[in-house]
Amino acid sequence: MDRNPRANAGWPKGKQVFTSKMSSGVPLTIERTINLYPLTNYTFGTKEPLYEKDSSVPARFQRMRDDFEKIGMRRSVEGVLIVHEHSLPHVLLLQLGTTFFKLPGGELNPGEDEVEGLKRLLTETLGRQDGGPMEWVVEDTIGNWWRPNFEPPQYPYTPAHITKPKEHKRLFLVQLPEKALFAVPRNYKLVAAPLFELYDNSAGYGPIISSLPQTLSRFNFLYN
Amino acid sequence: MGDGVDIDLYANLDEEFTQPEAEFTSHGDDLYDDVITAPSSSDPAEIHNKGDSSTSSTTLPTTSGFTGKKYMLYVGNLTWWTTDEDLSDAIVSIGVSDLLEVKFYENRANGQSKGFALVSVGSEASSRLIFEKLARKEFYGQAPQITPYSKQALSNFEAQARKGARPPFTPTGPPPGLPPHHVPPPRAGPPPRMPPNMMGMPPNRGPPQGPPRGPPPFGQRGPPPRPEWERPPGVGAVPGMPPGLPPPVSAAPHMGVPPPAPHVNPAFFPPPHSSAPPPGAIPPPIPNAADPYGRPPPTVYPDPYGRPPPSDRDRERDRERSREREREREPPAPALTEQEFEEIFQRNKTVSSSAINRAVSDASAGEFASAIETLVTAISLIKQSKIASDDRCKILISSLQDTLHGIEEKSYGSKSQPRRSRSRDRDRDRDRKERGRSHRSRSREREYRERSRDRERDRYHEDRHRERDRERDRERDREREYRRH
Repeated sequence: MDRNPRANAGWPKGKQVFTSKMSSGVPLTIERTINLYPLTNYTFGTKEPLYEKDSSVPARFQRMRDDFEKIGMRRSVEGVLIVHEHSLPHVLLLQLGTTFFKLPGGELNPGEDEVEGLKRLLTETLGRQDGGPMEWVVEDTIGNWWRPNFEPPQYPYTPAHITKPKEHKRLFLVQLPEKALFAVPRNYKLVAAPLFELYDNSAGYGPIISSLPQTLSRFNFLYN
Repeated sequence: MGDGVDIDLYANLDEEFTQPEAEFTSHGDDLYDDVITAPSSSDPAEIHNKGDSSTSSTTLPTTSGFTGKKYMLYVGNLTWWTTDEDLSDAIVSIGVSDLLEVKFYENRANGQSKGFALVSVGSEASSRLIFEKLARKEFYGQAPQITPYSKQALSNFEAQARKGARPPFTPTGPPPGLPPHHVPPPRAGPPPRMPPNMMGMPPNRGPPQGPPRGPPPFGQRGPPPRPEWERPPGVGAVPGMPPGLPPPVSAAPHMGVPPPAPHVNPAFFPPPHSSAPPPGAIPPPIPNAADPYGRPPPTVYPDPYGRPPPSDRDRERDRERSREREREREPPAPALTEQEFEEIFQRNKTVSSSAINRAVSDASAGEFASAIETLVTAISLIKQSKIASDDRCKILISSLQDTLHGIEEKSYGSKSQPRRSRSRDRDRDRDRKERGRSHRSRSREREYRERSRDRERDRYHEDRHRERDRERDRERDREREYRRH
């Protein structure tokens, strides 16, 4: 048995392996290989601003309460889009203002399929302006977070005394094509944050984004 | 009022991973507004509650639209796995038909229930009913403790939650003194769902694990050995050190060697006679060190737009501040001389008077959040000083608190002001953050936390929770130390 499948799977930077699935029959949950491409492979244009539904945080929570009464727990999805620079994964984050970052994604419509909803939201947020098709490949869940109350805290579990969490957020790994054109709403900037920047930095990026280095570490990234 | 507030302010040992996902706290004051504009702000009693960011409401029957008078009481002595539904079902089962809200108090850091909840009902009769009948119910083997809605009760519950020191995890093995791999027989309630040897958390609704939890009112919370991150009330002792000692920095060097943190391999610990602090200890102040925490220099990373990552700048600032803090940190001193005492007192006095001045001027400009922050920060600075227990400091604190209460009252009245747009909020936040920062430069909080923008914005809460925060930060610092070694 090959004790180090990475040795010939492009782990030392430079080697290139283009298969996206392991052919050896190792279950994907054991060895999950993801192709990454350099940031420079992607082109970023701009498009009209995309504003949040809520004008303030209280408004946001008020709408969450209202929606909760009408349609129940909010379901959110977010996409983790990864590129690499110097063979280090970088996560694409939308930056609003100077210190606020978020993953692309948003709220699902009632009954909407998670993956389809994520693709819709990604296209709304980053889709090219000419309406050309976007190739979002979504095959992996990265994590789940719950919001116990109509309040900011979210946890990667539902606290035991909570029977009705108010929001469930699921994060997905989104595999990018080798090259692509994105259009970024003008009120955002798209930044590629290296994992070391996020790691142990919940202060700067919040608990969810800052835990991505840990949750992404299960993947075998190929730096093409 | 001083003492009551004292407890109130520091009752919540939590908040570390609290930063809510950024987007929800991108306006610090908004978060804090959330709390302040909590329901029934017309009710004077609400004041006790408003600043407690760790209060989380679990609204079962929704209260929206309810305008009548609310009758509130606390239900405590609950296990952390007693659910909102358990409680509301029980309340309904004793005949209460106008239950409005069940609001659990939670550790903000991890969401865990503190074991007590605020219950609101729509009539006095229901309130009486709960007093009479709910106490006879049992939740997972424990009788609820029902108290009137009062600051005192809240303080008591908070103190219990703190002192009781529920362990952050239930030992998978037996509690001390029991044979290994033997779950104590349940005292009451359903049998455990977990096989005795199973590792992991206790079953959601199983009986309490650990030592049989007796009827003593505060008994539900964990075994006596106090986890190192639990801090004795009111003392900012280094985790793992006996309570009642001077604050961390001064204490560490001449304290002997504190026991290792649980996550540190004890093998790495130097023998106790070593004069150097162990890896697990808080590093001594390193004045002017490039970076006291051994972090790499900020890395400028290429982003698609060629801008430096914004956080670098922030972080740089934070680093500066933390250096500043290190410099300003009092040197370790076994006992305070008269002169040192006076020095610290003068400093506290300055902090107090400048905070009051600034707060008053902020408040008159309508910047209540900022004013409150300033005051809360000043209060905690003074409370953290070595002479906090001195009467003169207590006076400083109480005058700060008086000002704080005045401004808080006032801020209610201003809530009707229109919300600003996101972007303006943000700008203002930044602005406030800057000011807050300079003011906080003496804070002993760690860089880890300092660089938090969420925290910065969330300061109003944070100060109330900073104790726990510091504990956790210390752990982290230890971890860092450990990594470096």
